[in-house]
Amino acid sequence: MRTTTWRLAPTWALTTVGLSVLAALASLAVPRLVGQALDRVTTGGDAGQSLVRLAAVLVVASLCSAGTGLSAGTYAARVTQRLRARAIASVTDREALRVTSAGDTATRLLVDAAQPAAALGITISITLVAATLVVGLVSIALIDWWVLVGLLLGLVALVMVVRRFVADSTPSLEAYRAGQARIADRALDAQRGAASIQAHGTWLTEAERVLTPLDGVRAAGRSLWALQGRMAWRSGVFVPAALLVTVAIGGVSLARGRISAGELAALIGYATLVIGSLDGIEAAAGLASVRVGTRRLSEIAATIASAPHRSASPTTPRGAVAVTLHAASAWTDGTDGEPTMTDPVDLEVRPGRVATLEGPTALTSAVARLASGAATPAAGGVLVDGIPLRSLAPDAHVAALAGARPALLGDTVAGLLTIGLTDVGREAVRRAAEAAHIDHVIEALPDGYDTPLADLALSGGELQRLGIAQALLHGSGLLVLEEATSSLDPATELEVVRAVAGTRGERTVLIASGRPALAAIADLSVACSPRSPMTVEDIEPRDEEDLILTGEAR
Amino acid sequence: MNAGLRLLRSTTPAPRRLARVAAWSAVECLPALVSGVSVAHAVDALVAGRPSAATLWLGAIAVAMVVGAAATRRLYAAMSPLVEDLRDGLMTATVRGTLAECARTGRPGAATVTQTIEQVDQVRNLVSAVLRSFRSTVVPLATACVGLLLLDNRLGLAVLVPLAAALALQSLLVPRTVRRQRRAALEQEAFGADTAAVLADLPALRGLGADAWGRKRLLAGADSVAAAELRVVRTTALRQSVIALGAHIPLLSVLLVSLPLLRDGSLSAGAVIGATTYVLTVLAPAVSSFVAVSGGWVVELVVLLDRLALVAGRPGPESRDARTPSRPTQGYAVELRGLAFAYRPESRPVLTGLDLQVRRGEHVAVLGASGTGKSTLARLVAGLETPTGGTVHASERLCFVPQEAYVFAGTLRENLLHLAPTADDDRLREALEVFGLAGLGDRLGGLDGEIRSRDERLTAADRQRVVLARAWLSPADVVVLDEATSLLPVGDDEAIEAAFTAGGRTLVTIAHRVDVAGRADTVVFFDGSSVHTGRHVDLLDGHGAYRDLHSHAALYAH
Repeated sequence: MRTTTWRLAPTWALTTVGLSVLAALASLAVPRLVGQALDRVTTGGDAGQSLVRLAAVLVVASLCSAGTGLSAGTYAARVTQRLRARAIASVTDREALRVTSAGDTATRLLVDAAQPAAALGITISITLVAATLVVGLVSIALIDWWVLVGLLLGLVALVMVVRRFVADSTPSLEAYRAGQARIADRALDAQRGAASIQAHGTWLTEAERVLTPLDGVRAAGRSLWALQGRMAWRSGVFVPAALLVTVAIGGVSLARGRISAGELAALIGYATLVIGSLDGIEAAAGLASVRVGTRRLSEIAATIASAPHRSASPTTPRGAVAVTLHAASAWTDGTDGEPTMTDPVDLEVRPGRVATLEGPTALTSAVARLASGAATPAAGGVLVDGIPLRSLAPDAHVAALAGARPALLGDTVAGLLTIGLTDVGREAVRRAAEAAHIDHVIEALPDGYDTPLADLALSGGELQRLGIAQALLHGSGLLVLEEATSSLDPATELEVVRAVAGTRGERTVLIASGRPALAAIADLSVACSPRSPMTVEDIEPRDEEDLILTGEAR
Repeated sequence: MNAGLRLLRSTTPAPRRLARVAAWSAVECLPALVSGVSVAHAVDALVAGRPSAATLWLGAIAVAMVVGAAATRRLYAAMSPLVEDLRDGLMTATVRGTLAECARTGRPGAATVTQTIEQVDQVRNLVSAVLRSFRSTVVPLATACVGLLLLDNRLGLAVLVPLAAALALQSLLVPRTVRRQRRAALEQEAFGADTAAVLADLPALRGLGADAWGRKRLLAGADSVAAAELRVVRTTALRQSVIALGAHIPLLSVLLVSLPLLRDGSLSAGAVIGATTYVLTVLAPAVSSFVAVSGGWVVELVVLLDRLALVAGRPGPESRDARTPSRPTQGYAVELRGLAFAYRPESRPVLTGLDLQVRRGEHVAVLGASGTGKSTLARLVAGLETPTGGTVHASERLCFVPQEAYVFAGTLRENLLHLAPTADDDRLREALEVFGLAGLGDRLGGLDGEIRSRDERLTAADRQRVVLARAWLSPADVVVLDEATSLLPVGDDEAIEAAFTAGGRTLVTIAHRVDVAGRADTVVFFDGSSVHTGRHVDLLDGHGAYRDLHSHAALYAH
């Protein structure tokens, strides 16, 4: 990934490199041009031409620097945007084997994705520092190599001062960091004790206690300042000293007639350039974060499985569908975190039936996810009315799954219920909410169906009923309930499932719940066993009208 | 922006300290000030064949260097207290804000303390860098101007005019950069939050066949981040025009102005070289730094301070006295009259019309299934929730021990003295004995033994014992325990109840084990739809659900 990052915005990358090089060349040329112009000016010659040349170079330098800033920034924004888009496509891909932790993935998308784009700028600035150093030093040597010797001695002294500082400041820096970490630890401790702090009203004394290590931080901070001060005055001597050396040696050469006054000015300019370029070396430290960011981002992309195979089916089934699983198995996280395949399952449920899935949770959950299309089969086939589920258009919304926790996205309650759907009337939304026994709760909210989600505070059971209404709207021919009523009390659970089963004229219903009581509502029970393929006992349902009227179960 | 700057002002005292930093920065730049003049005179002297004069002028630079280095040391000594005080102030304000929120809500809140502390440190580094940059921005700009004017006021003017225009332009650009940078920071934050939310709900979205919607939403978020970043980038291009105006044009104008002056002999060659030295070595880097500092660090600082101001400004709890206005009648520890409570107006009430009188020294046990409102009752009695109906009168000296056992990093003594700062060591040792903590005390190395954050030497039961001992040591005469003995072995809780009631204290226990009912004077039983109060034996006789609760418990016990 790293080598190809620049290909994400090749034009901007090339523009940035080109402009950076031009800007650097222009600023390298300035001291020499100033020197030439000065010579003309001081010797009373015609300086017009050299001044025009200097002006032209300065204009080029300015334009190139402005262009570099613009194109480097645009490059970074575009590359980051494209890397994010790519990573988003990977993590939201249906074929993705695993869903990584949401918070961690969000950090990768936000922070790490911004890192690779920095590589270009860092590489350019390191190259330019090296080039400026070489060109600057060579130019000095060409004019007067004694100056070069003086300057190099100065550089060695500077490096020694900085190294000494790093060694001396390490203990204080560690003490400083340790003190901060202690405060953070104590604050996190105190946060965990929020209930006690509230109960005892002790937050002010607690804050004092949390901040006790601050004294140590302060002491370490003061000693860091002392060390920094020492390094600063030592290295602060360097710049004027280097200049002094340059002027002294150059001045002697001028007095002996070896160089001109203009060449002396150029020497001073180059010495300043060389010294100034040293600041750019710090940029190299940024390469480490680029490397980490690139690796963490590529880990997301690595979770993509083989390219999806979708052939759009021309027809979309209408009404309740027949559900067929042929030796279908799903991916699941194995014990070692590696994806493993569940045992293959055969299943056949006729249209308009209400069936409970019985057996080990791993298997019933796999069947629920496969049949609803929430998971793509790792092997085998999943068909609705004989059409492979995967070949249906993405917006067909034939099958839907309600899980233990609904998708809490969207702006309002109505938006949450119709997430990703278009053209759903308020009446249809109300009907779905009624079927899930949640309509009265929604009506009681301040703005009913238009209540913003931010103002929503519902219990787990109420949220699950919202989730069922949501799935009713998203699955026109098949509804799968997977632990979708686990937070409801038994009486409400029976009521809701009975009402959902009442829509069997419109859709097939599969229930994976592990609650024996629900089997009583269903037309049939399907036993899933890990070894042998699933057995289906299709028991003729009783008269449907009868069932709905009495609200009773087989 | 206002909140951030207000926070900065409230934590940084004494503009005099700033003045001192500025003054030493100025002295520090003496070598820079002297360099142009000295170089000019030294070159002229050399050209005129007076090497001793040239040496003197170069010597002046050396002297200036020594003075400058001394000033650097003093500068750091002046910055150190200023920046460290700022850090202390910000740290105190943000930690207080974090705990204020905990105290108000009773919940941990977002675990962003580490991030906040990191941000405080970023502010410290940025402020140091900005103060430090006086040396590379404001001071050299000023000294270069003074130096140029001293050298030749005509050359000085040739520099000053475009420079002034450049500074004016920059002061127009900075507020815009701040706005755009803040916008970009907000977009990034929103994108991060949205990404976490969508990814957390991704399995549910897949179940609905709405994952394409989630993807579209994330892509749109990434696009708006990029758009905001591009708007920031566009301001950087304008920055370069400030550098051109402030550094490049002065160079040209010095040369242009000096041409006729040199011809008529009113300007020396040395003066021209000196002036270009100023412009190239002092002014140009200073203008670049100034643009970078004011358009980068200062902007970052403003945006960061904004965020910290949010944390520091979190409100604390209202005072407890405001919530429990009156005390119970003589002889009673707690009185509840017609107490009603619902978490929200539209939600099902947890309590309706509860009456309860607890005499001083009485032991009350609260029983019932989870989620029926026992903890809510305890919180109401402790004054942590405001009833929606009826009144709560409770003793002033009431100690509520919530379910989570709060043991913090510090010595065992500090932990025990938390609610009783004046208890002596004999009393502490007695507490260790009573609550079975003698072994832990030995393991930690006595009362002064240090407990670390999330110390694995303490079991969850040890933590409960420490918290119970703390409540026992407190001066409270009413103690409310919310499942505070849940992890202790059966039998221990009986001894602990006895320890609390022995001193004549009133004890209210929210019980996780039903056997406490037999030892309590009064039982409050939540059966899910209503609350029943009475003696254990009477409830056993008269209430089926209560009897069931006890027979279930007996079943599980065997």
